[in-house]
Amino acid sequence: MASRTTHFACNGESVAITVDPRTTAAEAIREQLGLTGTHVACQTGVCGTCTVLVDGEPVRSCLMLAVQLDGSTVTTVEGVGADHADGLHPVQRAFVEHHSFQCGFCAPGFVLSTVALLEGDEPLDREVIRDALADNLCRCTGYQAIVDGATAAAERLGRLDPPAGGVDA
Amino acid sequence: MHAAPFEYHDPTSLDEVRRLLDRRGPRPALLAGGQSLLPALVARSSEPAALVDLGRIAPLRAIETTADGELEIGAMARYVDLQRSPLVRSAAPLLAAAAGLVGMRAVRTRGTIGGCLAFADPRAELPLALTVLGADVTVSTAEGEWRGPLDDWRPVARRREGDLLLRIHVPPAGPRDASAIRETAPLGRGFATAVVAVRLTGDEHGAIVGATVAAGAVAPTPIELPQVAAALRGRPLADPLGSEAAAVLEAELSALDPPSDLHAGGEHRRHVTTVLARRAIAAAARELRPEGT
Repeated sequence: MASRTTHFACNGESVAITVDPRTTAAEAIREQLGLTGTHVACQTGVCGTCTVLVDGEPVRSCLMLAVQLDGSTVTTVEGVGADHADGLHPVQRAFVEHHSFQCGFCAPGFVLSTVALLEGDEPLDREVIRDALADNLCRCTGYQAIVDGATAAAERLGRLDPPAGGVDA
Repeated sequence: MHAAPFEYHDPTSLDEVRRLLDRRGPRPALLAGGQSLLPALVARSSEPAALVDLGRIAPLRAIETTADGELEIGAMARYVDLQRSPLVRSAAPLLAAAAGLVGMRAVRTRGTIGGCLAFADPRAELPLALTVLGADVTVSTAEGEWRGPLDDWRPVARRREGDLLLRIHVPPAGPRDASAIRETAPLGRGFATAVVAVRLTGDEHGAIVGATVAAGAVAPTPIELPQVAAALRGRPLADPLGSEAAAVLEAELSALDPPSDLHAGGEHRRHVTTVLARRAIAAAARELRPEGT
């Protein structure tokens, strides 16, 4: 079927890609933009490994068509730390410090989901964070270190409500 | 797997959508949020020759109140829009709460109320909330616009091919209304194993004067439980169920034949529905109790 050209911003750069309309956003991001940090697994929206930010909000890129990205601003795991020291978003840094991941396949999805959660305005505590993280699946770790990393990042970003004991006001 | 090839259209007006739906040839599929359609396309359980993307039709995203306080929600309003909208939260808090129970955050940023109603999954939360709230819908058909109760449009056999859901109309909550929705689902999110929604109206003497109770996931569409609702009327808010109304609840649910699937057998589903109904009724009643009681 006739190809379509789609224009959007990805990790701060303007891009234009021409695709068969049945191409998913995940496929286009991986194959046309070469950004393979975004993963494809379940193709049904359940696992979360394909999560990216579209206009600042978390989205399952396997459940969007690439042509639907037109006019939007996309952030993938490759770009989420761009404005930060050593190119790591505080969420990524906290996950590293807490050894949150093993094989790493779920990691980009968790990074983007957690960034979206912490940059939003939902009131957060460790229990809310733990519940929110169930939006993404991990088969390796048992989640504890992921919750630790996400909670530490929330604390560092002043997003815990009420703040954890010992944090300077 | 990849979707089978299709013609892709992204019209910018409802007139264009209507033309695409009414032209000769196989009926196109409508793309709303894509959270149910894309898995079907990718698994090839659905192979439409053409897709009409509704994403550029701005009026379909509007959420407004009319002069008489009725809430008017465009079919392309997303779950996250319903959760956040001050209009929905005040006029139809049950709908905002139901939207928050849907799937995962990354699904709520794309999925739409129109797509949800058209897909009509028996486990879905929004259709259940809209049943309790007594919603109407406006539908564009080949013969013109039609407005009527959601229940009249809902049965798949009664829908015409080429119907396009435009707006959902919700009467506003009264000052003495309270509602609650309770569900249980694998992973605590996603498709409900069992889900119940309740709306109660109380009076100034601490009694229930109006009640609507409905359950999802136990039948092909949400079903009202009119006997329980009748048994609740006149009951004190301090003890809404009591032993008689509780017995009516058990009896009304035991007349159902809930489906068995890999998440729950029929009997277990019925039992969980009973527990959720008790909790939802108690929660709505608590909200209506005068302070200090």
